[in-house]
Amino acid sequence: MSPTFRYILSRLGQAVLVLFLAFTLAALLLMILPGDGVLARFANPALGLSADQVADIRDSYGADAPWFIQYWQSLVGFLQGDFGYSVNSGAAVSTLIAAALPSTAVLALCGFVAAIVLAVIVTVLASYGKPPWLANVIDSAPALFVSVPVFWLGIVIIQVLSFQLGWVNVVDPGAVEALILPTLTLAIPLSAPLAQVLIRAVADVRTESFVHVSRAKGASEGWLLVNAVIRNATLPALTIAGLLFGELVAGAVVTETVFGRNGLGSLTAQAVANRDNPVLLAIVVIATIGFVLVNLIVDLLYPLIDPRLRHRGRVGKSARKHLATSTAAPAGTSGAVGASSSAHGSVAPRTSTTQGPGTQSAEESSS
Amino acid sequence: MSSENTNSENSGRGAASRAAARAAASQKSASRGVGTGTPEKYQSRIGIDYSIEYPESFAQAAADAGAVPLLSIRELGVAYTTRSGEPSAAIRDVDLDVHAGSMTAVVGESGSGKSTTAGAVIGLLAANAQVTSGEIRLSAHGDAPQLDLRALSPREWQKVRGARIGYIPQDPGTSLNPLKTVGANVAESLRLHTGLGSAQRRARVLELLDRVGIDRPQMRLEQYPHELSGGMRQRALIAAAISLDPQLLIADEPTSALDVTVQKRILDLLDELRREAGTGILFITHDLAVAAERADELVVVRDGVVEEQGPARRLLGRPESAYTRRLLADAPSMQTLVGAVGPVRAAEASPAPASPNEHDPGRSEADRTDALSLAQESSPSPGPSGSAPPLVEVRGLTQVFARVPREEDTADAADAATTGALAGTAVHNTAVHDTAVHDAAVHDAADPRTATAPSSPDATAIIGIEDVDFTVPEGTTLGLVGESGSGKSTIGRALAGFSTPQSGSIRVGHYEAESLSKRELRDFRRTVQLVHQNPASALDPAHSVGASIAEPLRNFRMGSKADRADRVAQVMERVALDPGLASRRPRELSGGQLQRIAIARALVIEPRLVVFDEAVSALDVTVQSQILDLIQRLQEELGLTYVFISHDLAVVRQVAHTVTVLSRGRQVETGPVEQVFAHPEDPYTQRLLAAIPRPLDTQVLDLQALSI
Repeated sequence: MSPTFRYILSRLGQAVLVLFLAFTLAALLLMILPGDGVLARFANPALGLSADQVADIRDSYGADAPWFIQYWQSLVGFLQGDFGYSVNSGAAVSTLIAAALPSTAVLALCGFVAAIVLAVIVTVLASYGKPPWLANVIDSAPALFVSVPVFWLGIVIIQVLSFQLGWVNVVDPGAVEALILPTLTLAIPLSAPLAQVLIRAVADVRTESFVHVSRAKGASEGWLLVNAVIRNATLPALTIAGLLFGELVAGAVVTETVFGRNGLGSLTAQAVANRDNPVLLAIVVIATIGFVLVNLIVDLLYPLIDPRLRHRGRVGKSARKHLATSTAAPAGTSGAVGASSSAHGSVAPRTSTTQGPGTQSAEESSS
Repeated sequence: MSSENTNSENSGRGAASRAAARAAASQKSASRGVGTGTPEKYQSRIGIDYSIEYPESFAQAAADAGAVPLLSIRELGVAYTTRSGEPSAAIRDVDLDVHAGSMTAVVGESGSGKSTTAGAVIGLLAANAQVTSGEIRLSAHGDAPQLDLRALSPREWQKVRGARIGYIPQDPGTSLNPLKTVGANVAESLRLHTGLGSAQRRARVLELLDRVGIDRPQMRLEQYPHELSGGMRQRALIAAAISLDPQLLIADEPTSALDVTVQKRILDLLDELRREAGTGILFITHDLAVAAERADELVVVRDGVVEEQGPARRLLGRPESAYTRRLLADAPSMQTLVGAVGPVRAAEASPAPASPNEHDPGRSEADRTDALSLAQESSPSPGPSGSAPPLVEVRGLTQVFARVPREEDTADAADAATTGALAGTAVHNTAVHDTAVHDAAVHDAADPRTATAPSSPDATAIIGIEDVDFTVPEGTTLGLVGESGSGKSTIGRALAGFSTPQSGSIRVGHYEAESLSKRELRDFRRTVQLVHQNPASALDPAHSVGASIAEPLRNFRMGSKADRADRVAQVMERVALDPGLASRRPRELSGGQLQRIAIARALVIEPRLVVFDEAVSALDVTVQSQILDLIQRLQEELGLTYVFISHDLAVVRQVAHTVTVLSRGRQVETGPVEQVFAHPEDPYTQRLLAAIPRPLDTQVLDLQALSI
């Protein structure tokens, strides 16, 4: 078994573990909460159902079974691809998801790509822009964007671009037209942290010794940007890009609500309002799958970009070199030295195991 | 076998030849000189005759030929614009010439403006720096016209850099793009300046890699920088720098980050290049010994002004400026020549100024040696032969992190071997180099076929240490010497109780360091203290240095608050610092002051053993000398025992009583410092000693000349 293959396999194993933990955590939290969707919907006095009838309905949903039975049942169901039925509408959760997912996926993808493009533009302008004061202004733009709330931004964008300038039609727009403003709303706050990291990474790489050496070979700044800086600066940005996926899901919830789009986001909002646990659980699992997948891709991209991260299975020369430098460094500061290994333009490879659940639960609380 | 003997004889001569000529009174050296016949006619492989009758330097030869200097700098001034908008001069009125085929070295301590000079020549100064005055001219070369480098536009500069001026950086570890193959890194200049297709570029890169002595260039081409050793990377960088046959090479501290044996090979390569291609080299260094050994012209800079300049030989023999004399006096390798038998330490440590006898140039080496050993015996610190049980006893210490196949180590051996092969094609060859290669071969198990057998311990290289034994008598200093990766810091950490060895025993006083309980470990930490290489990172930047010094006292709950302040003031005085500095933050102090603080912190809880891990390696030579003096004085005053870890043999020789030489995790030699340095038995030690830069005329250099 080649080390690369073993690495991929262990990564996949970790992904499955994260998925399982996220499911368990979400399922248990939803069960612990007092009250449930069945109660919320059927105990409504307006429906005029008797206590016995409600108890029958509860029984048919299995709402009163002990938590471990409920948990086991939904786990087995999920493993078989059966997400159960919505408490609110009675429709199969898989049907609801299938209807909502494509629209959200398109929005998320567009938002993500737009965010990357925006971040790169901002980075290039902030790093190479002239005159310097303009570069400085652009340099501070991400800090502004990162603090802008999505819903407010959405409203402002509609107000300015649509109603005042009339560039984009929000009332009865075409399929593509309908995507423009939500994409922009999603992309701007997403691009901000990405740009911040990229600007910093580009600045760091530009002071690296090897860039200086290339400059001394007669390279222009433009040549350096393309041939040396971009790839080296990609590594830290890639980490952030993986993490931002969580934000993308949270952003989609708000954006879809503001722009009145049907999708996973609006489905989530409804499900939360109605305490529709089966739907929520399915959404959590789907979001986790997306998150785990994106971070798996990011982890597998690292070695493609950075040859030093290949063959990590064996103690190779890189490990030996690292050891040599870290033992040469003061022992008491080895922690700091480890952290500053980005001086070599690399980012310590991270494990999605530690991030997955954390971000996941943050996302849950936000939804 | 007989050839090996001859070689080692030659090695001895090469190692000590120039010193040996002078230290003829030393019995061993003399016999070596006899053994090889004509010690004065020592020829270097680059063809410089290093004999006493030193021939014309390249520079003079070039001048005689009526050649214009390749690079001519006149009254150069560079200023930095500070934050307040005030320009502050970084260098002023610097004049220097570099002639074809010769090397001009700019020597200075950090902040002296030597790198600024290099930056001005290649047009790559920091954004806030500007050439304010003077001229920099590059002579015509082939079809290329003479250039006024100050008048070039950025676009014109791009045509000059790489093509006519090559640049060799300081740290090979970070100077190659880690994401590109070595081949792609080397080919950058070709891509930038020529219209060669990828196949042609590849062919040229292969040729270049071969030229700089990189073995198996086909394979190296596809490798990434991290897969190469430091020396190999520096070779690749040199290959990149010479890819377009530039007329001038700027070498900015090209060997400062390298081990001493690797440094020697790189310097040999540079010598060879300038000899064969007639390339002029502007060599920037802080290391006077390296500059003195290799350069034709020396320019000593200090605070941006040339202190002294002239032919290397003249400048070393008769330094005119007091600063140059001090630099010479402070550079450890300038005084601790291998041939000069006897501990320099004792002389250094004697509290009174050197006795008048020291200044007597007529005094023979042997007399001095006797005097010095006497001085040592009468010195308050007991010698290594003391009868009391040693304070530190290490037996069979083993801490192996990993065993790796020998392949990468043979690469180093091959590195040496290739240089040897190259040297063979060069005009001259020397016995010493052959020996070095031979030793490398012996030592590194050069036969690659045996390299893959993991069962034999010698077939694998160790990361860590294996089976290390030594003792340190109370009140003496043990020097732990080795190149990077030799495991010396691992020993330091084990001694200080920061790691538990896999096997073996460490006894310090009555503590068995390898089997301490938590409570004992705490007490043990009061007995042993560690001082690191970089005080700036060892001290908390948010705390005042006084608080940092008091930290161990607080941790061990010693004394009241007022007591602690007193203790801090006392210990600061002990390390010759104004106690008033206690309220400062680390960033407000200089490197030397910070190292004094670090030492003060180690001493404040009155340890018995202090482990110095490369404690002076990051310091400028004059500061280094002061810290070494301090360390020695403290030992005498407080009866401390030291373990002094360093890659710098000259420094170790200066401070240590006994020395243990490590190579790749194994102990190759141990013994009293005089014995190991004068009569190294292990080939590795011999190789290490042979690689110390040896300025041509140091024999002529005398304590008299050095008296300040």
